[in-house]
Amino acid sequence: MFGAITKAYGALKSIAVGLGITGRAVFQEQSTVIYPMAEVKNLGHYRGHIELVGSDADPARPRCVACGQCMDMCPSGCITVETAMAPAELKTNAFIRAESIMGQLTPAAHFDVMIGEREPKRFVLDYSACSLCGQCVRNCPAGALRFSTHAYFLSRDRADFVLDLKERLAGQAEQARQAEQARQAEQARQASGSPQAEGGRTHE
Amino acid sequence: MSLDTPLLSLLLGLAAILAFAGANGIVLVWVERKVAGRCQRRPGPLHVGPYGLLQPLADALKLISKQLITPRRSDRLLYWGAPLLSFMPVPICFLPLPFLPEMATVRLNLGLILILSFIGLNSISLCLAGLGSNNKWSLLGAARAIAQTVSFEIPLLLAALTAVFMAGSMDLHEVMAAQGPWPWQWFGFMNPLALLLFLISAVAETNRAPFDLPEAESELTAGFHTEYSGMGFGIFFLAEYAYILIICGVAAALFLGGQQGPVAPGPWWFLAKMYALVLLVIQLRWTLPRVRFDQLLNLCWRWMTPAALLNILATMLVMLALKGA
Amino acid sequence: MSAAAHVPSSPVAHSARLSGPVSHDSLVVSMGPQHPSTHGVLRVVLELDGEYILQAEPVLGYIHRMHEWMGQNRTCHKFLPNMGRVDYLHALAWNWAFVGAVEKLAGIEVPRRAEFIRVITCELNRINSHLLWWGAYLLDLGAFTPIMYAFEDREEIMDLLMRVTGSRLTYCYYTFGGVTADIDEGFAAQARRIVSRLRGRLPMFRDFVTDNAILRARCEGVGHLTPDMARAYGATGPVLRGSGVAYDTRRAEPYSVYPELDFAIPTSDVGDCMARYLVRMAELEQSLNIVEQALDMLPEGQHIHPLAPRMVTLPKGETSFAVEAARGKAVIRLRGDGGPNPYRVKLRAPSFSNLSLFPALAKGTLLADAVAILGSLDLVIPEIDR
Ligand code: SF4
Ligand code: SF4
Repeated sequence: MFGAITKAYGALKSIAVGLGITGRAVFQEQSTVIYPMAEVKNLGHYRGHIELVGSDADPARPRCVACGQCMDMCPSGCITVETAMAPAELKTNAFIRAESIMGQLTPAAHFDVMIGEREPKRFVLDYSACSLCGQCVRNCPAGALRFSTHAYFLSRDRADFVLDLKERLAGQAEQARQAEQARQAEQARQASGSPQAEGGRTHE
Repeated sequence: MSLDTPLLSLLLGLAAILAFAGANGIVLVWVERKVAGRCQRRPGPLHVGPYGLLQPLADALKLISKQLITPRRSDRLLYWGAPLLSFMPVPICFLPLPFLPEMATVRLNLGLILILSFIGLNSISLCLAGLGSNNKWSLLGAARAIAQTVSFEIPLLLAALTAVFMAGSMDLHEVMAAQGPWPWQWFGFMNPLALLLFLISAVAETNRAPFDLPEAESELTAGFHTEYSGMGFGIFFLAEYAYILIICGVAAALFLGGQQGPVAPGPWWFLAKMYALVLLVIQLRWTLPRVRFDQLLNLCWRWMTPAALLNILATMLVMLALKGA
Repeated sequence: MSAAAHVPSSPVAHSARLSGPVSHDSLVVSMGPQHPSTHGVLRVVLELDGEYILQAEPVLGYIHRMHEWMGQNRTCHKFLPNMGRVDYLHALAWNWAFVGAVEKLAGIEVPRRAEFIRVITCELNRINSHLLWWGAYLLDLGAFTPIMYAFEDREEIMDLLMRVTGSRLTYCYYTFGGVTADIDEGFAAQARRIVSRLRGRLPMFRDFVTDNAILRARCEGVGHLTPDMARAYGATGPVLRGSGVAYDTRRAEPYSVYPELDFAIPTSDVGDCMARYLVRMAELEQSLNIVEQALDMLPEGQHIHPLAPRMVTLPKGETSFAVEAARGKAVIRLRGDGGPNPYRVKLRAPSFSNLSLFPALAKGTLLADAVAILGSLDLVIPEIDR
């Protein structure tokens, strides 16, 4: 009898403890990020689709040397690189080493690619097939690929996920150029101390 | 035709009760989801209407507009009769509840019996739903529903009887009147075991978690209402909330003094107590795991029924002693 | 006529899946492939007498993706991302198993720093996996709230792992000869914060769930597994340790820097669902200890060996590499024939062996117990089907 009472008491107490915990949670701060209204903060580490990296000399021109290694490496076959000879003036005497087992563009196991000899004519990513594994980025000998932070990327059409990365790079470079121009214009205006008023703006 | 024609007032009363039950279902769905959300540190419904208040309406609209599907080889009559049967007793059960000041209600000297007997009909409807669905999970749910409700009716009645003994009446108004305004004058305080037994049986009787065995999502997919779509499911849902409200109302009247309160006694006290109990029932659902079926029956037959019997005996002895003194 | 022969005349009866004879008055139900507590696409055919289970038979194959066949048809690099999809809850363990097997066969060295980074991330991933199991198990038992609390902590760990791996669930982080990205000071600080925060949360988990009378009643004495039976079925991981066998691959077949780390192997002699539950909860604490130690001991150096080949060609030979995954011993057996692709990749998945216990454990129990037992085995269906 006594045992039964202590058992019942123990059970009820554990339930009361549980109620206390959920009850307290009611008045605690919520841990949800209410998504479309609030944005998540950690997008800096977000790994979106891959994109091309611009070369140091010309940000609109990819660093890619069209070795085709990313195509080889991609498990999902979602990269297509079409090559072309680069303009003669870009040619350098530097080489980078690429490795290949089942080279599609080049047959040998090791081969050296001259920087600036060839360039991608088109660089197409089928994002709908990409598993974001990163093998292409990791293994590009020229360091010409990286993950974008392109997080809010939606479409109803599959075709929209086939991206021409070269075009994207050119667009990004153009945007960066305009932003830089705007920044310089702003700096110049502030330096010359011209008035803030609308009419005080000079046209370029 | 004047307003006090019995038929007219009956119709008006019925319409009012149905409107109240419907509105309550809608509000309680919102409250349930909000409480669930807050318990889990989520905001709950948020986007439809201010504070998501219109969310249940949107859900109701969705349910109404959905196609009603009758499973192949099911028993159409039972299948569609069950949800209706589950909601039908609701208006009757609302009648004796002391929502209004004493003057304005239907006085039934057997009010409590009326409620408790009609609530039992719900289990029959769950059983029919399970039987009629032609689905094995539903069948298991139906079997569980019957065994569970039949068992728990006993401690429920015994616990209610304790309060009835203490008050000497089955009329909820008189039970309320027998209790004082202060919490220590309520039957629930004088006899906490009866209150506890009543609440546990009430949760089991309304098939709410942790005793939601007829539904048991993780075991029986959705138990007796696995096959129901649209409003078939919606009516079960509405009935469930109505029963929660009724049984919490009974508990508030029997054990918590009903309309009695330290200041300004009146129906608002009853409503406040009833909704506080409803909140407790809701929070229990979001706190506890589900018990197993045999444990549930053990709890009923080996613990609660004897305890309720002993309690009623002890109450009678104490009352006799008090009377003698 | 011949065309009609290809059309199945009627679906296979559920009872045809059962190996034993089926009594004519029992109820045969198919639990799954879409059932809330089979967690994915497992199907279990049950023969019931009322709610008592007479026979249970798991039916597999609903999410078979031919990982082993894919392994034979692509280079090691291309196969590596598959590993994150085998056991998606402890993806890094499978990453490690495959990378370790390739390193062993091809003789690739791994810098010490990389080994420590692997330990840290793998243990964090294990914590993640156990937290999710905890929540999902409680969901099986009908409690809806614990999973949300578990996800709060899980979210932080996922954010942390995203910092270095870039992914949140199906990681592809380890690579032949190291890891693909180094961890920085910020990572270490955040990891320490998470460890201390989670330590503070565990008592709440205990009060809220572990000590709950209903949970105890549901788990204690249910699904009793003897050590002999566990061994006979090849059970590993918390399932085996819950039966009192202190077998942990990290100790039994030491790999990486685990021998240098100080941690206990929680076991329980009871062998029921509660024992498995408690072992996992204790492992959470051990993993927190390991993460902290490894952070303290983290040496300077490179995160990937400078001579690690960009393209791996497996030499002729055969090897196997085992790691302790959240669900037990995950083994990759690898055979190379000197060609670009592995000759054969065999995956030994712990969930598969653990699932095979289910028919024996579930026999004679109630349906609700079967759910509790299935949950306590912590199955990940894609790992079973591979
Ligand atoms: S691996 Fe790099 S350099 Fe080679 S084709 Fe791909 S992006 Fe261009
Ligand atoms: S991330 Fe992986 S799947 Fe995507 S393009 Fe690169 S190699 Fe292919």
